[in-house]
Amino acid sequence: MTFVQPEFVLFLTVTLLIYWTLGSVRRQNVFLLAASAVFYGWVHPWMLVLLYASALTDWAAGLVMAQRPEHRRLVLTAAIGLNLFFLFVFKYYDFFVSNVLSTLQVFGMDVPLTTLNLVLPVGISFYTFQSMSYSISVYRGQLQPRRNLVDYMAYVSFFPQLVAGPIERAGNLLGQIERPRQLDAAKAQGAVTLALWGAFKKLCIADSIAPYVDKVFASADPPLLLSLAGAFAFSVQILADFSGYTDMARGTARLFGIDLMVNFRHPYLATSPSDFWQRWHISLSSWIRDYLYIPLGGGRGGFFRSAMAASASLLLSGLWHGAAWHYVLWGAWHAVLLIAYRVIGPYVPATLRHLPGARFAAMGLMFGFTCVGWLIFRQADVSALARLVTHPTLGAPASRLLAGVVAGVALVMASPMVLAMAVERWLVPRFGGAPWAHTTTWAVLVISLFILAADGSRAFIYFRF
Amino acid sequence: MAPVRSSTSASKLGAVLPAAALPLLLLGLAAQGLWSVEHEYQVPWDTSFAPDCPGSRVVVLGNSRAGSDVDVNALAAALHLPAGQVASITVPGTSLPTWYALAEHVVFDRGCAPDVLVVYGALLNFVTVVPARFERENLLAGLRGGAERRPEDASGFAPVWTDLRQRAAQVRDRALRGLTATLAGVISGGAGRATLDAAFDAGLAKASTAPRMPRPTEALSSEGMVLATTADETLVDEIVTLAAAHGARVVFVRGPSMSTGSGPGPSEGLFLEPVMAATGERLRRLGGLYIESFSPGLPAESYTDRIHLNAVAAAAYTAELGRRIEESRVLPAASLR
Repeated sequence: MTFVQPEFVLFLTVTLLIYWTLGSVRRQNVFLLAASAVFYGWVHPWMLVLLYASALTDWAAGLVMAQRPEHRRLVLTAAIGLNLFFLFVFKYYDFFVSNVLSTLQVFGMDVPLTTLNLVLPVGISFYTFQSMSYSISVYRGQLQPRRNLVDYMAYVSFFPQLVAGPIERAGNLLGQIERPRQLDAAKAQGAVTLALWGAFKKLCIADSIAPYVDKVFASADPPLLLSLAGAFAFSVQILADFSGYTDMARGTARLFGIDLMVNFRHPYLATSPSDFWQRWHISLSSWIRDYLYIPLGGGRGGFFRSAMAASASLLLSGLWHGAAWHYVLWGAWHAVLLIAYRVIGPYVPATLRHLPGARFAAMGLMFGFTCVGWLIFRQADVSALARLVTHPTLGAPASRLLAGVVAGVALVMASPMVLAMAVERWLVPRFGGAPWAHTTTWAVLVISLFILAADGSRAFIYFRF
Repeated sequence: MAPVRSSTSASKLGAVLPAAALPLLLLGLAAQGLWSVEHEYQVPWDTSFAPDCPGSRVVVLGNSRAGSDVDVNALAAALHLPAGQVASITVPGTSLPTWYALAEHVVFDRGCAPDVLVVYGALLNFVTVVPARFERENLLAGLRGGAERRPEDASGFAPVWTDLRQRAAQVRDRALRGLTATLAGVISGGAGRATLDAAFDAGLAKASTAPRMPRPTEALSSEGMVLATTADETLVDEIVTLAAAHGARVVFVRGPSMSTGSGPGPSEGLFLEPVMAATGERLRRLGGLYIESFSPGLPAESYTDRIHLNAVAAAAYTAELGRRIEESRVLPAASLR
């Protein structure tokens, strides 16, 4: 089931009605656990087995670490190993095997290895990382292990954020699961507005741009200008799609009295790579920062060590998105950007930094680099990417026209999001508390959804991960 | 105390009224605006499973698109067959599993003996292995001789909702087409639309989407359908075997899409393109014919709505389709006059 299916609205309505009549936190958590099982197992119930296996691994590890503190490193290693094993089998095994076979064939060796062709369980990358963060936090002494299995499982399987994040830390979400929740009229209004806005971004903006992007990247060897236009359009599409889903998740969670973390903070206003990663998919980037980058040395230990830590983190971030070389390349691109900015940054004169418009120039430059990254991310054919670098062409006049149209459509589609920033800054502080502002916004969004949402919504981009 | 209470009530009323009135006003204006959008839309519902093919040499199977897009008279003329020797058995909202059942139980079991089965549909129709629940129920009802249940029959409001959605879809399409055409006109100084069509069509004529498509990773199937991820999972073998057992050959036709002006119409599940291509190839190896007419697409003026060709376009398209079938010689020579 997804947020944009009609049956979800019915599911959510019934779930909320029951949830808020249950009274006690314990009953609510049992019910949340059951509702999440229905949501996630709607089409493929077997996927629940893997979800629960992963969750139980970390829950049990937390308890064992508390009872046997002298073995906690071993226990944590085993728990992380098992989680990563599940992820490897379902997501990376075929990629690994096909690359091994290709390499061996170059040397004339024929090994009897076959791919598994397993169906990728939706959300496995998200809930695995979320579950692992619990046992890591227990190991570090940041969190006491939980004995209440229902509360813990409700935390891992909480359906609004289960399949595409945000990747919540136990300190935030588990704490809220364990405490009584409240919902007042103002919070409910804000929740509905947020969810509708997310649906608008996904169904009206992302899904409208998608056919244009698809056509660009379905062409054989699109020229450089068209490719960049397609990448620009994709930058709008993926932000609208992913932040739209996140807003729907946060709005839905808020209706249950739970606040999920903000996952996007105007990422295309970033002025540098490190700024970008504090604005884009914040839950993943902070996870990787806390559990990989910092343990590898982070910003300490000299330039070389810091660069290695950053590179490993960003390569892993790329690989997290998918078992394919272009995702790894995307991660490598951002690693190169990060290191380059660190090297060149100190040499940029202060007078230049303080010129009027310098900040906008920095934003524009970073956005350009981000679009190049999206080109790598979206163009799955690595050889086509290589040809863009080795034989760049502007293309025929018709192709340049197409590039203009694609970019123009993307600009127009992005305008509601730009408008929303202005509304957030100037109108919300003034009118944000007024009921008429919320209901009018709902009416505008519902009308827009009815008219602009295409029949048969596309799958969320991040469901593939 | 009374003045305080009445001012509190007044302030509450002052907050509630605009909160209710403004959105209702907007919704009313939107509904009235949508209702004023003109459209011609008629999907013929064929409620009968009655066979229409005795004496036919060619039987067309498919859903509502086959009913609108394939003009049986034009096809007969293109194949140099007498009028009445091309029959069409179509059921709206169906896919290949239903068409297989129609071939078995309506065509062959009731004594029809066509030389060619022309199976006409879209990508999703051909790669459907298990249809959605509604289609399954209707199929079973039809096979048992029961009445077909239309979605509109389920609720009195459903036809109004469907009608509004159709109008909304027209507004959306016009807006997107208008935006694309305006941008193209501004950038190119007027020659935009035709140049765009030609550029995209030319580009995609060279394109091979197969190497680019990611392996299907989506664990969720849409609306209860089960879709094939490889050609051998589709029903192509089954329908070819069935037809061959009755001396018929099979032609799969992937129908044209609507060109939006920026390229061919809505993407039909790009990750399924390799499955469609492999299915067509498999059909060819089994002695059938696969005709791919999805790309580069037809202009919007060819359609009554976004999906079904109008009569003029259908006649022209069918004439071309018939020419390709005739050239392939999939029809036995004795049937041609």
